[in-house]
Amino acid sequence: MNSMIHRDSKFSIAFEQTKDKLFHHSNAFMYLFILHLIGYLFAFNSGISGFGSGDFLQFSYRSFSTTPLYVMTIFWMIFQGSSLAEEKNRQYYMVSNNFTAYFSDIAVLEIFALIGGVLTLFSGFFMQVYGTLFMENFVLHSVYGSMGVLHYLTLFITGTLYFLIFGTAAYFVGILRVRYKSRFILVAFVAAILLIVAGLLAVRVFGDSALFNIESLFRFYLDERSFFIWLIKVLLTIAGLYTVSYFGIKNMEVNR
Amino acid sequence: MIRCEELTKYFNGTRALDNCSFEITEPTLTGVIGVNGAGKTTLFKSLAGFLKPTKGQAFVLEEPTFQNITVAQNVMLIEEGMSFYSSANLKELVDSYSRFYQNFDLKLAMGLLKYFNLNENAKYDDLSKGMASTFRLILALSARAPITLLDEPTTGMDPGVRKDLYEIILKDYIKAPRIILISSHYLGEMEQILEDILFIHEGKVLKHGPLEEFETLLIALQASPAVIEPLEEQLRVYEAKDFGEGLRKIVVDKKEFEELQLSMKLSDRLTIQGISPEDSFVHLTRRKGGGIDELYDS
Repeated sequence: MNSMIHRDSKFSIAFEQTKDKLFHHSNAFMYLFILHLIGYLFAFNSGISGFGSGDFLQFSYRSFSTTPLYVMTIFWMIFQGSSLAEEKNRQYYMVSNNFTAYFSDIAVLEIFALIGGVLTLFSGFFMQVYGTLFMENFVLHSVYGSMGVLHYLTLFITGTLYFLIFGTAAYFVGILRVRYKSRFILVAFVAAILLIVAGLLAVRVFGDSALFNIESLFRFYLDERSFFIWLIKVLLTIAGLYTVSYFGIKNMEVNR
Repeated sequence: MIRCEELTKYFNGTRALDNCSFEITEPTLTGVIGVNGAGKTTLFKSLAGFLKPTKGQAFVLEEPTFQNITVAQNVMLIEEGMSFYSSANLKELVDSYSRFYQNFDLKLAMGLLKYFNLNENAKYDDLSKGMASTFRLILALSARAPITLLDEPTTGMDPGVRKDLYEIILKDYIKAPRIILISSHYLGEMEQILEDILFIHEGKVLKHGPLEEFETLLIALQASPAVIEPLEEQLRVYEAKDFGEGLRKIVVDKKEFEELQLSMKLSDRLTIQGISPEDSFVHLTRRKGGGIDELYDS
């Protein structure tokens, strides 16, 4: 046989796939840039404006928030997570198995989350620059004056990890959609009904202590005062999402 | 190199492959023949490791195929349903494939793109059906994978291009001998390049062997009805036709006919004709009963 047989490791294939996916998903960075521009538009206009006037003086003021930029980056991560999960077909024809596909998808999501984290970290500086360019008086909140390197590092880590959670969650849902196709909607519907019924029963039996809603889910992370406990919570969440995603893709067939 | 042991695959209760067993150990150009829904694509996808067998097993390089990374590196499968990154042009797709298939002949791929007038800056999704098929075949041949699976590689191509491509497949195979499996409905066109035939019908492997065996599978017997009718009672008849008064033709299994050991006298009154592999394929896969005439005449 003239054609040589190759037996490269799963990890070297996954590494090649990560590079290939980053190349073919380079448009994703353009989408992030556009979403951030929209985010800045909201950031500058969503703040509550005040207005004062007198015989000699008229002024308006508004406060700016970086929240829209975080929201836009989360949207972007959800979109990327879903598209990575749902475009499985094209990669299996080009040397792949479920393990390498999963491994490279996760690596790409992590890189995307890092880029999202870096961009949002600099959003405060960008807003300051834009602010001084377009406003007559631009005053930075006093809290920014007392921020040190550790604060910025914390801001970066929290942003990156939150983005990763959303991206991985979207990836997990995408994998289930790809795997179970039309049955996914049915199962999701049944699961939602079961959850609602279980929740109602739990509240009836155990009272308000069993009350659980999306707000309390967010508070579980956002209200945590200790950085290390927060870090453990977030890392465990990511590890959980990685695990369920892996079991979602494991033994999945490639069939359109 | 390739082995299937009682390979069976069900999709939602529908049997796509039924106890398929065969083996290919040497480089060969094998035609996988079968009607639509016979199980050809399922077989290819099982060999490529895309599908998990319901029962039995498929082996490539002595390893079970399902989700096996060694198998993935050494098997190249192309089919109409495969998709590519929509943002990438043909050159970028060729580059991507060349990074994953280590035997990939980049020079050959670029030469074939040029030969078939495929613009390397075009997007795959913008190609016509025939051009897309050509591009997929260029990838498959250039990959030079030890096992190359071509599922309906000439879909949508005009006859001139199809002829060209069969010639290229043959040249490529001579230059880099390997196991190449080609599935197609156009047996007549590709029989000149094939060595072996794997004949699949209703999920089962009906026959696997050299093309020559297939050429002598069925024969046509022609004679007066008085001679033919007794034979019809003794043999399995694949087709029967009357040609005016006094002449009837039947298509039968050559082996069964030979087993009858007819007398010389009777044999002399029969005209025996060979049947082409393509016609044999049509006769063997024809539906029993409920023919189109019945449908229109009822």
